[in-house]
Amino acid sequence: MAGTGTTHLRSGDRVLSVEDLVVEFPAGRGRRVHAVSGISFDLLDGETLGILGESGCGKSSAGRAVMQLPPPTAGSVRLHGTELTGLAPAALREHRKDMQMILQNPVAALNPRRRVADLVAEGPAVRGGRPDRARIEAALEAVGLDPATVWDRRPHELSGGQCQRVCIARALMLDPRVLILDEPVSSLDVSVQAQILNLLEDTGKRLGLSMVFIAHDLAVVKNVSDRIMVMYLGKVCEVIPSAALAGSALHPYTRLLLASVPEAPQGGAEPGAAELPSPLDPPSGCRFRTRCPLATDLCAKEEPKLRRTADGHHVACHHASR
Amino acid sequence: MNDAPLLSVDDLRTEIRTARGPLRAVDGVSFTVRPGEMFGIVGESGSGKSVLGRTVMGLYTSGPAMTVTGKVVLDGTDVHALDDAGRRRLWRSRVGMVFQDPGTALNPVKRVGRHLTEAMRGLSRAAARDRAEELLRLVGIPEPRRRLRQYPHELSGGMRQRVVIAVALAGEPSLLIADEPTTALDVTVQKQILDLLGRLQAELGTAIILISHDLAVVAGRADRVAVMYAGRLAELAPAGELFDSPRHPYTEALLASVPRLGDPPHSVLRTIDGAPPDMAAPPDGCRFAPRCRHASPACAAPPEFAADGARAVACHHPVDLGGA
Repeated sequence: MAGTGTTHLRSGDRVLSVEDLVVEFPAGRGRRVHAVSGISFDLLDGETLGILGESGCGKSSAGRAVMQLPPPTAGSVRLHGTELTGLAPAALREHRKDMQMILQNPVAALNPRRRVADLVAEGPAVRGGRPDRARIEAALEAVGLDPATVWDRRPHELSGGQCQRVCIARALMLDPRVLILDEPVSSLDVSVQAQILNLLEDTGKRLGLSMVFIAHDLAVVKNVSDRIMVMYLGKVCEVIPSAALAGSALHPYTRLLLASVPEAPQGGAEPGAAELPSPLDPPSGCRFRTRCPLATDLCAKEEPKLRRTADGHHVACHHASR
Repeated sequence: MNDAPLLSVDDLRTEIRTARGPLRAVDGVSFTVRPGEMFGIVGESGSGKSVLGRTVMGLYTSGPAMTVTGKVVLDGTDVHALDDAGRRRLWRSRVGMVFQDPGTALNPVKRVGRHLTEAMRGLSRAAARDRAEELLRLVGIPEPRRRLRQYPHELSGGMRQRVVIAVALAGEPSLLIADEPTTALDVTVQKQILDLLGRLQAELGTAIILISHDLAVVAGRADRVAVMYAGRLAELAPAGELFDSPRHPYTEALLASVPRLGDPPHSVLRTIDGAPPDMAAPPDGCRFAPRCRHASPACAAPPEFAADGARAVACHHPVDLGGA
């Protein structure tokens, strides 16, 4: 996989465009963790892009780098045409307001000592104006919380689902255009997960938000996304319209993920107990080749670039074909 | 399959003492598990499924912190009538447990080999090592001899969970209790571990209780599935029937709230209004009634867990078979 390549980027009215994003972390003794190695994606107005991958694939690092938390090692992140990398802190704060992030563990994301009303008001308050009571109440109602009940509560008095609603209300207080959601439902029970997914879907539509939805659960990502980008070890494998995920996925890694879904038949494509290679020293060429049933010498020598196979469908593999 | 049960659980109650008063985590649960059967227990957090697993295992027993009443009979032995030594013998040879987080289930300062051999009795050092190697091979760990010398932190999450399973199998138990064995693992690894459990069940004839919050994990593997809600069983049925035609409104709603790969993007998911009850003060009568679409005044009385052939459901208004 690998891929680098930008054939999947579109022209036109893009809210967010990310090109050749690289995130590396120092790992001591001069070594580096290659968390994200040159990925590109873009987001149209009102679109939801799903980023799918297993732990260690770099999906969270990519999401944080887009938020400049911390800024990427290299690459470009443009929000409404403004390059965010390299902006001075004050200017960055001003532009980044249009992009908000929702995290996996909603309880840990909230300051345990503050009350719900203050938590929701915090965004505008740090920007110089505490919002009035009516605005906070409206924000809480919009995410399905009863303002009178939760107003004075602290995070530990709320369930995980309620905390995630507070996080969403908090993010929306700043009227963002883009939401970056990093595993927003994976710590929640299935019935609560459904409530939050429906809430995100409604909110997105109502406010015309664009979203980047990062998760490891195929069915969840497919449900919320218009397009899905599959990542493996810091690279992009495949970009596919989400309606086509189950039937038309071409990349061997995407297919492995599909075959691993518990409802898939037992047995099937078994890549043995092959382990994820270390991001300290990723394989040459295609990074998936060590686990790939299609791998040949070519895959070790040359990194595949994303190529178009159908409308909106791009694959980074030397051998995959429909 | 032999019809005499390997495990029978009868009106089991686990009451945990808390500052807010007794919390009835398991409140009158009865079921049986047949030899060699894969028995699934699904429920959301707080439903009592993990407490149930640990009480069945005898890890939770009456003491200062909790009271256990009811009966758990494993292979003719009343688990809660045993003294400490008896329970340890039971754990060594009859029942094994696989925990959710393989990172904390293993002792970080003991090598893999030590975890496997410490419960072995009457074997020479060399024989114990051979047996440990055989166990690692059984759970699909490559290069078992080298792995025996490694510490848990040198293994990946999936490999650690294989080791935990090997430890649980060391005494050749007739029952394995797996509590959320794949929740901490990636999907591709999850599939490998579930396939492994299925293979062990088939090859060794070990009965497995598979506890999970994830309906899909249990769906394809279990022979029968029990759905737990607020400390009680809501429904018990052969897996295929449960997922094709749930009879308890809770099961039905739970199934409808899970996104499916086959559905088109942006499908609206069904949700369950409200929240599970506070287990320190659960509602009288049916515990799901406050959240149930079908609730009626009859639901103020606790529904009986009524058996109908291979299925049982605790509901005054069960969903009709073949359509809701």
